[in-house]
Amino acid sequence: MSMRIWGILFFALLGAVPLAATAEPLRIEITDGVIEPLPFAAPEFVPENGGSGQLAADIARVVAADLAGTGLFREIDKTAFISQVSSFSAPVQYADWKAINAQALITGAVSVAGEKVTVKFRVYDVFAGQELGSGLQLAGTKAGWRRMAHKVADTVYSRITGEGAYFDSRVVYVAENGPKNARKKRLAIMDYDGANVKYLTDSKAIVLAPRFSPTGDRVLYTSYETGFPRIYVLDVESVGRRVLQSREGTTSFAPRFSPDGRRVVYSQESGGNSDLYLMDVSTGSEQRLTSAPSIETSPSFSPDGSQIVFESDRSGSQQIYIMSASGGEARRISAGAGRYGTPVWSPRGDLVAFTKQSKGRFHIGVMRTDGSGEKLLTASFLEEGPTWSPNGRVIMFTRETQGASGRSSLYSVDITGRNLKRVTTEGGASDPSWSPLQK
Amino acid sequence: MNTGQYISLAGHAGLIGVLLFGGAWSSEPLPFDVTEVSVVSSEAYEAALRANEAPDVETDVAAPVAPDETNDETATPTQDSAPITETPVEPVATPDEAPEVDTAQPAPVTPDVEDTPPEITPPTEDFAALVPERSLRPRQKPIERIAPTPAPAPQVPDTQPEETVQEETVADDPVETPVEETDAAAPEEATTEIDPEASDETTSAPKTSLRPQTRPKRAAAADTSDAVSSALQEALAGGDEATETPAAPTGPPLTGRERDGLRVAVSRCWSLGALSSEAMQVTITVGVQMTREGKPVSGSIKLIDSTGGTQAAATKAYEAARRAILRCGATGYDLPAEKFERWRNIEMKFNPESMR
Repeated sequence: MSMRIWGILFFALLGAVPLAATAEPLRIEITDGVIEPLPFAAPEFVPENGGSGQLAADIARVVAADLAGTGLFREIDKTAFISQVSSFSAPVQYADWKAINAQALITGAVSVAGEKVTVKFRVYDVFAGQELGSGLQLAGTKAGWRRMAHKVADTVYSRITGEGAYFDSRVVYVAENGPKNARKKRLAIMDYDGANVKYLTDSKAIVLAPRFSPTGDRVLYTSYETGFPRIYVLDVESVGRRVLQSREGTTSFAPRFSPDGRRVVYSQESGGNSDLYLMDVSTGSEQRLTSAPSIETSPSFSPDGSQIVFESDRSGSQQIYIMSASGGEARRISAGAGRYGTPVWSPRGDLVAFTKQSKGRFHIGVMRTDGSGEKLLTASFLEEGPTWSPNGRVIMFTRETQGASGRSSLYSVDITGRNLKRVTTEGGASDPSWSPLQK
Repeated sequence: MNTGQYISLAGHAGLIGVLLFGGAWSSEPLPFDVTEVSVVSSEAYEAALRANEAPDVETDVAAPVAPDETNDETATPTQDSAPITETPVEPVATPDEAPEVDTAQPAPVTPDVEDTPPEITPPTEDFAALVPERSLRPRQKPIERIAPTPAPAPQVPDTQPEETVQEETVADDPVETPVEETDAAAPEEATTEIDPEASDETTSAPKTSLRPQTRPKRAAAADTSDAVSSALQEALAGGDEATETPAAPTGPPLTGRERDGLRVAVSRCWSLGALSSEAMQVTITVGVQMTREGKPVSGSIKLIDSTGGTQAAATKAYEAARRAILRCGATGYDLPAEKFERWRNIEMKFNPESMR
């Protein structure tokens, strides 16, 4: 009996083979697409109880602004909507959203109970007619509603693009006021989009080069408070600070945390020569990394902490080098004409952002860690000091306009070179440092 | 003893006498040149030969070593042309080695070769018995000669009435019935070009393919009580029906223009602006089924293959591709309806390499 069944199965399969062979699909290859923002619809979030109406509208506005601000998305004007979302649980009328060419739809609801705010939201792929991921609910306070909105936008961004976001992050920078020859500088911190500005120091002393710790709770910076540049560590929450001790007769500057936050690499000038040093933050022990008669400065760790990229003029002009985090032989990675400086390793680890001066112009650019693939993203009279967004997709930097009344501002640009835009600040701003995503 | 025998006896006796006593008539020997020849010992001869030997050969050397020009006068022709090998050079006889040659008069040489030409025997038919009787080369095939212009219609006065009625010939008649030529026939037709294959009546190739015979329908299941057997019988019956249904694509294949039209239509909606850098590295292949109206069936879109990135990146790349297919296919792609079976199933490869 068994043999009989197998025999029948064999012949049945034989009969099926030619049938399958004839069902050849049409094959085409598509190599040209379009680079354009993805249109999305973000109706006002549904207020689920009294007193949440304004908050629901504000949150939806910030979410839309975050997404549109990336240059990767385009918000569809609400006047074009055919459907209105009056209930968070109501089924989505995909046809209505397809009709206005919305490729993504974001719906949400907000409820307030005292100071507590709850936000629910969903993301839909309109043309696929399905939800992207699952709905999510966030709880916070009224005072933190902007952070809640940024977190909603972060989730939407990640679900559509597939990469991490950067909206719930902050930037520490040097706020500037006054003319160039008598400029007041102080440390300030703000949301990535310029909101919630908070000053960390007064303007009595010149401050330079603030740098976030890997956890975003501390800031390293250089201050001339004593008349000489010294490195300070500042706690962002309490604004308390302490100085990192350095040897007598030396000046320290350009500090940056290691990825584990336990060490600080910086530049120290002694007898007219600058070299790189590594200090243990807890013990204050110091390790010399370079010993060349040239100027070595602007060190930056690789994300895994194993290497350091820095600038040096050891070859006669300012260039970028990479060496082991414990010192030793360095290899030059910049090879183009011009001067390269202020290198910063990408959080992804694949690129190094830098400032380039060439033919009287300044540029912000990126290159691979082996020096290949150099790409200049911007060009202007003066720009410098790049810092990476937490997802390694955007670079923020300082741009200064020409002339005695020239003013410093913060700008951001996508690593593709698109979406160059000014970051809103109260006054002048320079030397930004982007925090990691907040917890 | 007869007379003949006496004569023979006397002749032989005389000849013997001449041979024995003929020296009395011999003349003085002819003068000849004498050459002084020194006898050389074998050791001295070997030493002389070694002096003329080729230099030691290095087998490792690829290029041949040029001979020493200073030894050219003493080198023998065999030494000049000797290949570079490890084999020792054999001593070659020289003219000096024949001291006892009689140089007085060389004996006349009798040629060993006969001047008479060899007799050439023509091959007989038996000798060529293995050769086929006729050449295997293809024969010129008969050509049907067709005039480029229609033959002039026979004029009635020139036509000789036949006694018997000639039936009208049909060009496609497979049966070749020889028709006797008549005076009224048109002149031999000619063709504009020679095409030996035009009327290949001698080819051995089959004129029609031997299609397999259809299997006779099975009779009713022998054992209907067996559930498994019954199910398989049903499956077989269904397979037969499917085989009879024309599953192969019908209509001609899509033209390049039609394929390009589809490709461009999808490209217009393939938006990469919101893709992550990693997703931009992924090449994916997406399968989709189409309706007769040229609209993609949303539920049929599936990721077939991906290369160049993580699964998460491939998923995002797939979602972007799915959006492109559905968006621009919402009103139906412009595809030829008569070739529906050709584009019912489509595999689209999305390669963003040029967009990075």
